[in-house]
Amino acid sequence: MSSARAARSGGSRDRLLAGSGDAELFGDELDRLGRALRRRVNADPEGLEKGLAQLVLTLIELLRQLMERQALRRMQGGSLSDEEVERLGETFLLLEQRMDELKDQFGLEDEDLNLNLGPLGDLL
Amino acid sequence: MNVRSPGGAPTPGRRSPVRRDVRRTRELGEPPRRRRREQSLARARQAREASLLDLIDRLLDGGVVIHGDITLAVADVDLVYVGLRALVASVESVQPHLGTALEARPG
Amino acid sequence: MLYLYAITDPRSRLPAIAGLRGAEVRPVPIGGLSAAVSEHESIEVATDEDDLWAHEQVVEGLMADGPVLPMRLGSVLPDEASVLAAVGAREAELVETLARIEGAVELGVRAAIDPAAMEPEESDDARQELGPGAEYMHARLTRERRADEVAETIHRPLAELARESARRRHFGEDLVFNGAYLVDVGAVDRFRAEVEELDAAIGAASIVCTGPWPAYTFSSRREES
Repeated sequence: MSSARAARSGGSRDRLLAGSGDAELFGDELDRLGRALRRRVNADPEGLEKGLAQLVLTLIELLRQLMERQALRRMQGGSLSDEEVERLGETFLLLEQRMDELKDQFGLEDEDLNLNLGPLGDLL
Repeated sequence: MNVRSPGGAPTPGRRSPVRRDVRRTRELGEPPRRRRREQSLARARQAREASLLDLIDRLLDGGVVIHGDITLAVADVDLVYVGLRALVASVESVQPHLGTALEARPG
Repeated sequence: MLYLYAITDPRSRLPAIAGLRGAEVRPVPIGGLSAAVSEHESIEVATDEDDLWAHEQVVEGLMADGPVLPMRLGSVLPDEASVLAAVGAREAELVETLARIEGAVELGVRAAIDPAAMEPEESDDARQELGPGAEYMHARLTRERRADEVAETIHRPLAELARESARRRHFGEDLVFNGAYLVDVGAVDRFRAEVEELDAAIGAASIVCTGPWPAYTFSSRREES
């Protein structure tokens, strides 16, 4: 295949150059893509409440991941005692459990918490 | 959802293992030509979706930004998310990483 | 108002492609540069597939004739005077960027990483006595480390084939790799072949490559770190 393809233009919407392009791999990202492409209309009160819950839970999830990364980094650096590692781990497990409960309560899936930022892509 | 190991502690990561080969189960009596055609349509769709995903990333997050009004259809609610995005970006740039950072370097 | 598609060398010819809303694309000369624009009474760009590809087709059409700095989607200025002012203010920087990307295209590489497919670590008897919290933390750490290793195995050979590279930090539970590579036009085929090889060789990853794209990632200004 010649490199003249590099200068190709035209109506094609296919830019796959290599690899399987297996949609299963990027299923979640494609879902988020779909949501990013649709205008969001959230006029009803129920939708608003769910939208707020989505926002709040995403913030919590973001903080949880930040803290977890921080803890893992310190663990890697050796500045945590065994008891601290155990305590932190338990806390994160509990947080994860609590998040699952809250998500159930509001009827939200994991994918819903990866908020699309409209034109600005995904948060997480 | 969490995958629970027998010991009771959830296995980190919510995703089931990545399936490398996704093939439709062969249905009895289905003509092979139609199945091949469906597979090739599916591959074409996947190629377009993968392309669109990368296009969106680039158009919305890359390119030259000229100071001026970006007149995208952004509703008021979206402005909250704009703030969140900035928050994430600033936190990421401050934290050293376990993984890798967004960095451009030669070679 | 003027919708901006890209900044080019003034010698580049315009593509015979209509812009958004079927509007004509025309050049606005700014010193050693040219901005490709289309004029509209008013324009609201939606993030839908058709608008995205309409913008992209114009930019790619411009690539046929020389180096192109693509604009982010949705760049609109009121008139030519403001285009002159905005682009003129950064002329030196943009001329330099144009020279930096000349003769190259951007390729995107994504991979999904499956830590379960990697070699399991030797079991450590002492670890059996860990509490659930510590077990969780150790497993997380191992998972991150392995994913990093796989990502590095993918990135290193590809970076060597590129002029420049950039990796997008992924923040979340998924183990994904997302890199952008500025590759000489003549090296694109070798790059593609390398991606196919890596995809076949690394059992723990499934890799795709898209492109050629205009240099979106390598035109945007980085924050000084």
